[in-house]
Amino acid sequence: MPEHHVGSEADFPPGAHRVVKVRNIEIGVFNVAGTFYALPNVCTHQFGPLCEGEVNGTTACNAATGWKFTWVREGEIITCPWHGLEFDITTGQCLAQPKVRLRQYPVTVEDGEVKVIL
Amino acid sequence: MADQPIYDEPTRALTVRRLGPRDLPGVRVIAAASCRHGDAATMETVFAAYLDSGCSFIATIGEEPVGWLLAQPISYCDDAPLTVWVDDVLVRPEHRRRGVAAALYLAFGAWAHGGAVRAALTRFPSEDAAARALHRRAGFAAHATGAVVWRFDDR
Repeated sequence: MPEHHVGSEADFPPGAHRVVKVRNIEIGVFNVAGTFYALPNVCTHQFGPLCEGEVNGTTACNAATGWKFTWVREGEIITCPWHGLEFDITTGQCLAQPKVRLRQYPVTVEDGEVKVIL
Repeated sequence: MADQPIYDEPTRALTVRRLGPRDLPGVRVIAAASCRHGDAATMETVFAAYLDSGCSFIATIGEEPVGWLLAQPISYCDDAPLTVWVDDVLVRPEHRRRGVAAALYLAFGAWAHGGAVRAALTRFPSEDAAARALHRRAGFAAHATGAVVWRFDDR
């Protein structure tokens, strides 16, 4: 598929994310600790602007946390601004509905330019 | 000289089907007639991606390719398309205003209703009155984000 230039690497410092428009679709581009990811800006719940939400972490309570509610995955979770549904940026998976996942668009960085493959 | 009677070609059936491997030549014809998608190599990779996604359709009149509906899933449930984004609906200029785009959406809707697809979304320039009418008749409704949404989960 064609590559679409969405900005320079400097536009996406680690921890940053932006919504870009490619053809007629909006894509959220994320820099998570130096690795780039791209997700559609459409929540699976009520189709809200998912990638305009906050990037943060989530709570976990399992054997690994000693069965205490613990804040984990900081910087790896996008939360929909409409109703709070959370998605793992690195896999596209919905945290509340593990069977549901977002499409992940490949992202390349070449000569300081970020490109999304659509 | 008396006017010669004009005979229309017998009406050829409009057929819409899921995009398949044999449709690459037809896709090239539509793209060339409408100046879309650049060179041949780009066209092949674009075609392969839409073919893999399984959500795209091609319209033919007889054997002549006349239009396409290109769509890709943007979310999945257990690897099946859950939400689909319609990238492009295109009819060759000489075949417009004959219901081809409406037929493409009719086939798309039948496919979506028959599966696990929950909704289709797309976006087009708000000033495009013809696109607004087409999508409204197909089943799309305006959404707060500026896209239009066709929901299939109300069955």
